[in-house]
Amino acid sequence: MTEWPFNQRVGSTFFIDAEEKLLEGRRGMVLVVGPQHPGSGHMRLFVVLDGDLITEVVPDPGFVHRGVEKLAENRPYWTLIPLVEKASIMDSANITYPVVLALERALGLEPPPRAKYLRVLMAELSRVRTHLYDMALLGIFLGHSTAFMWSFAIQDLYAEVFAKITGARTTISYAVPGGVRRDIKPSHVELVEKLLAKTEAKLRDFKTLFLDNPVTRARLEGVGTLDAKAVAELGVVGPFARASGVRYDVRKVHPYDAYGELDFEIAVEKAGDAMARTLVRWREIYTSIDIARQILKSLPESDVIDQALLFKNPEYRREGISGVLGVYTYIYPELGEYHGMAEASRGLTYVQLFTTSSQRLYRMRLVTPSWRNLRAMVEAMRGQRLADMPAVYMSFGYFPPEADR
Amino acid sequence: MKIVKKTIDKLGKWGIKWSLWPPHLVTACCGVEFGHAFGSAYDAERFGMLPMGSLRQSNVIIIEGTITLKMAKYIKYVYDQMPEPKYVLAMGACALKGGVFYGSYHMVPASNVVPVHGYISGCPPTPEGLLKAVTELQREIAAE
Repeated sequence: MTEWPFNQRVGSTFFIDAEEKLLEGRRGMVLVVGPQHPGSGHMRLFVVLDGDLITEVVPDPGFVHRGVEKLAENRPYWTLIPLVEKASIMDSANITYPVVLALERALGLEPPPRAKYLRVLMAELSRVRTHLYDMALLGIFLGHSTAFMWSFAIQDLYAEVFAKITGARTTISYAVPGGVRRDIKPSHVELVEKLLAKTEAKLRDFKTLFLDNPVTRARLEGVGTLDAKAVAELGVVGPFARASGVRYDVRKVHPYDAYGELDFEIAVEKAGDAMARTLVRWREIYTSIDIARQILKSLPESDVIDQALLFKNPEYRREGISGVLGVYTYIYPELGEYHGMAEASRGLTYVQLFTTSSQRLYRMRLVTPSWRNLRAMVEAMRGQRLADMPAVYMSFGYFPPEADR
Repeated sequence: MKIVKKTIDKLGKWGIKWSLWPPHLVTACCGVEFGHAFGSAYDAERFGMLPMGSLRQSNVIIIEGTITLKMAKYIKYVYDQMPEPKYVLAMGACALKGGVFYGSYHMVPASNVVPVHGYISGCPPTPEGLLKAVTELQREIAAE
């Protein structure tokens, strides 16, 4: 077995022998939490303690930095979708949304109405799943493993339904420029309806078990409070900003695809503590279920891929959707700079594409919500007790692969 | 005397086989399917597996996907601190050769860091795939 040359990499700042020395001269004890810790791992925090109180937290992200932005520069544009979705795989319908929107602008494609509705349907199902995933991990962080079990039991139903509709449990790559990859069948509509009913039935018990549990409430209430001003200054996005009373949701502010035609209210809480951040996501699950029901009721009849793509391949009737996707190899994006913005489960996701006249990109910028929320998470931990650190950590739904990209 | 030694050996192997405890060392996004494997639908605990907070009491590392250069050091640290006998299972295409991230400047294949006993293919692998690898590992331990 070859030994990896850990310390021989030129210019490397990662390989410091004594981590404690990084914060030399700070008052109090420096505690190194991670990257192997009883929570979810792949994240390191240097916690400066004064007795039991946290005076400062210095985050050390980058354990899952895989260079998505750099890899995107050397690939054909249609392979960006599976590349970007690995940042947040249980949320893949949402995290690839801005890329697809930006590519559509670059290629001049317009998805048909049915495709728009199907994308939103998958995005909302993905949102339910991600919020449940975050709650499962919050349960584990608080030592409440029953919440983990219950939450994953509901999530498994979503994984199975995703597998039936798109062919993959987690990495679904459902939206493609100009439409969606597969049409939904009438049996799938029934399946999703059943799934939503089952989720609602299970959530009632899950609430009694986890959210209304006095132990959970005691661990979360009044912990890691951020007011609206602090949230705005720190640039927090998504449900974590809405938990402090900042009414901002991309789905409402810049409605994309079918969101403009749907009727829904965004969940906003005032308290700004860990409990509020959890409750906002809890209410969003119900909003998502409601949106999914509306879509199933008013699903328009049309193709699921843009006519412009269909006409480029005369054989599409025989080859089906896979033949249409081959068309990407001979269309070229316009030279320029394109943006895409979408509300992922954990907040605003933004993509900026600099296209060349070839099929390769010049540059892709990917701004993910977990990265934006990291600063706020660290600020919220300041002044709390050490025992409350896991509660604050997971109340922000921090997902390192998403933050590090 | 020989029979006693043989019986104790067999008993020890049986014990290891049904107590494969991985430490909480989530390296990348395959951790989602790893979580599903320990959820109530697949319930890896029936194979004697339970994620353990402390690495001193664990004996199998499950590498969940990508290992970055920054993480590789800590995988090695964790592996060196674990008591013998110890096993490594590598999940996902990233741990094999890079998968969708092949050619990234911040990637290390799992076999360059620790000796790997079994690979599970997929991006991400299904929980069934993970549990299959676990049962294979158990069979290997019993046959050692």
